[in-house]
Amino acid sequence: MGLVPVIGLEIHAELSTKTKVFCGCENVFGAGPNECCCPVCLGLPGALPMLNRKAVELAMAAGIMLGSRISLKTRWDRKNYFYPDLTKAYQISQLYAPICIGGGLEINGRFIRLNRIHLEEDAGKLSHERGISKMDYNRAGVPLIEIVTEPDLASPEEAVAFVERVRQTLVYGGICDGKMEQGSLRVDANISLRPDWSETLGTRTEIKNLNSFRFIKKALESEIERQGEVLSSHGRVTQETRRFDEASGETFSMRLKEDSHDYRYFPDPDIPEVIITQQEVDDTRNACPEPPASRLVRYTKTLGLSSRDAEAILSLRQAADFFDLAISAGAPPKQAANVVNGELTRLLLESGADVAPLKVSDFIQALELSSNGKLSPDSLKRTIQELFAGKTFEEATKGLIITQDLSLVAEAARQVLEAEPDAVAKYKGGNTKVLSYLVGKCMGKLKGKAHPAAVSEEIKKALES
Amino acid sequence: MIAELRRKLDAKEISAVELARHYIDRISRLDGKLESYLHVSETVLEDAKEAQKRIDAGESETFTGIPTGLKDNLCTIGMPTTCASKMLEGFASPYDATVVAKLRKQGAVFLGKLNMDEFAMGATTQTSYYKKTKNPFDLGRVPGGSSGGSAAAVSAELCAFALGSDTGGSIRQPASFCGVTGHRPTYGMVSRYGCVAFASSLDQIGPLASSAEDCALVLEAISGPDGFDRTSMRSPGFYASGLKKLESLAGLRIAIINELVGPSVERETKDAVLEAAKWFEKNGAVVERISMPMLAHAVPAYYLISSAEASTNLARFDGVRYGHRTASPGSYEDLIQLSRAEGFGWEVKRRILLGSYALCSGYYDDYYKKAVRLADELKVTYAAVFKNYDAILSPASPMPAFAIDEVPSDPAQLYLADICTASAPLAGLPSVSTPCGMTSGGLPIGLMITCPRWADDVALSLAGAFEKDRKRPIPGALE
Repeated sequence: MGLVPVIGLEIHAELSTKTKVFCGCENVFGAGPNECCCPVCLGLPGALPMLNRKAVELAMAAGIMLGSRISLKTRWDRKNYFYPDLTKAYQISQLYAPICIGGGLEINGRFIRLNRIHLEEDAGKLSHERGISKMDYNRAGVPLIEIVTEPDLASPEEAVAFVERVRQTLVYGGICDGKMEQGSLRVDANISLRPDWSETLGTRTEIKNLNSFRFIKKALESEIERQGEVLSSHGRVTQETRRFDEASGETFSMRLKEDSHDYRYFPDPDIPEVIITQQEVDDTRNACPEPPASRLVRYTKTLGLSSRDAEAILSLRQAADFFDLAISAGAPPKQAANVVNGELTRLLLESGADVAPLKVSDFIQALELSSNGKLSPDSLKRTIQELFAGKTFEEATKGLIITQDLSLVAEAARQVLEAEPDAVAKYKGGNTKVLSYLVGKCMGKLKGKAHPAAVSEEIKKALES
Repeated sequence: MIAELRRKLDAKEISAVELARHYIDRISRLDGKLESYLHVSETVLEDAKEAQKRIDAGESETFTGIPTGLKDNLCTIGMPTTCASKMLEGFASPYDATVVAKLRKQGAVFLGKLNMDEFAMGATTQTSYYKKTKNPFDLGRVPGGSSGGSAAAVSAELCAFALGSDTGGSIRQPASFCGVTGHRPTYGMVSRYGCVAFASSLDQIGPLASSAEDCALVLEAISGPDGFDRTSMRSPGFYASGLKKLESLAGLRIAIINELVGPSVERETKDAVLEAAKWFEKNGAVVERISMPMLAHAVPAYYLISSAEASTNLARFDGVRYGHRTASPGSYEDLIQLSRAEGFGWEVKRRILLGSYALCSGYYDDYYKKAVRLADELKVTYAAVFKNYDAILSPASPMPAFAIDEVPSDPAQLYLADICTASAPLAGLPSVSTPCGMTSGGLPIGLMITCPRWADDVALSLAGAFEKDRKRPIPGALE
């Protein structure tokens, strides 16, 4: 009997709003302890929440980009539990009428369904040192969306690929900065095993707070192994919450006293129902960029790129955006992909620029020169660098364009062969590898102003003459 | 009274400092017996001097220099805010409630914080952790509650007016017990920001004062939409600038609800209210008796909804960030459990337990959800009544102030006394209580006037017209 893993995820993503979800405090990472707090997010007596509409807009954008249906009426509920990081002893969340319903993403040919996306507020942060617990409430009230999948994921690899795509989608939409190391994106994973001949789900456990792709994979692998051992020795998996220990790479039961939590959800009387108009949904939809999942399909199916090239482009939103501009202006896909994935991505990462600062028309012109043999690969790189730095096309290509006819190349080839009798002898002895050495020498002589293919042609001609 | 004080202050017949001193003297002389203040401000005279400067500069507003009392669930900078609970002993709010800030901006002189039932839960002001306020008409009786400190202090002239809060009757019932006018505004008219929440969907801050005219002036000062409270709204149409001029009551249609003048109401109370109805009739209004059987469900629905909301509103008092913390807890669980066990009184615990129960999964549909449905039904019933009538008259309480030693020990029995007041909050309606007579034993009786949402002006104007024809009852038990 084989056991099949069944995995469902809850992805918590902090929204990139300027201020918190129910007060005017700044939503920033890295401020001093309790520097971004006020009576509202501290839950002081008498304080009341005021909804930040921007959070609703970003949640809506997430839903649109992940294919969800947007609820035109959405409500807030209180989730009641005691914990020192929760200032009001209830979290304002959405149980009964979440903002987004359904949706999903295709991962390697399998469609993973979303159950819902709802909005909620983050809690503060606790730290424990030598028997003293310290509270930092800067994070309390930061807007979060919780993206809940159906139990559709079948392996740790698929789970990781799914989270990667969701993270990418949120970053593309400017919805979440995706910085897992800062806790901007955290994952709870539900997992159970079922026999491969049965559709009935087994008892699941929940692993809380996984904050890196590596940990998601490790935690799921170790939990699959643990549950597998329990089941194959005819034991029973207990429904419980487990913690992933980063050091040992294993999961441990959290044994919460209040394990059978009754959160006593009920509609929050302090916040009226949020009404979203169809116009707002349409405006948000129009303002959303094309999601990476659909770009992937377009790149591979329509443009004929390999999925590796396509994924490489998608790995940086600014690069993909520039690529799309170039394609719609008529750039040849494969060639554009190579340059975008090479020099352009490097420059974007190095500069941290939000938009690639070069003209699409210049870029296409450079590609054309290169494919016509008038710009060597090195010169193309140089040109892209110069264009990126804000130079005009003429400045960027100055002295790089191969304008002379091939007689100069032929002359250079002749001189190189004359100066390199050993290499020539080797070549003639059957060692064709020295060709690239000779091409390099020749290119040096021409100061790079030649196309290596043309140089190689000329050298071959000279050698065989 | 406020208009008269304003005139005297602006005409320099009296200075703000003299006025403040007058009240401070009365407090120090009489409040030992009445026990209405939990805290008397240490800056009264300085504040009065500041107010006087504004008056001298000709920059006075309605409340500049007016001695004001505040219920102790309204957050104040510079004075403790305890909600009459051990849980918040000495708690210093870092911010002012919106209503407090609005009055402070006008230069009102805050005399201090007034006693109440703990966290506004109760109808006697005997559940306060600190003091048991007395009724100024009979020191052996309760002042009502939960704004009992506010009602008693206004009645005994220990402040020119006071702010209270009304969740299920906490302004109107004590106003009726103490012979003053109390107004519960339309839900949403006054910002709740800084009023320590009891039941968020029902709480409203409002005035207790010596007349409906004063209540209207206070309402004008404290109402309006607030950027800190999403449930506060701009009044559609009219807005209370003092009282509506009622030339006559001719054509006004008034309903009396059979269920609220029935056998459960004491005879003298019923007679006084029916007598008041006759006054309205004599002055041109059409008064008719109607039946509202739905009212029988108002009290249970009110207790379920208010307790459910209270159970989560009061969860933040866990001893972690502020408020009472148990001496040496062994664990986090100990810390919350002991802090709450020690910090809350019995009535508060009872409501938290009741409310938590009503919200438990498995009971939610049977209790909380059903109560919300009843409240919705009640709104529909009221809407139907207000198609035919401009206002509803009833007693504010089925009986006058009861003796302190006769407070029922069975809480359910005490809760039933909220029958007159509990339904208006469930429907978000404005409602005023004004004195309408005395019992043979010398206790005030309150007439309650309830109007459609946002018709606060009608309710206050009717009360004002009624008051013009009679004298305010003066308490005799203190002096």
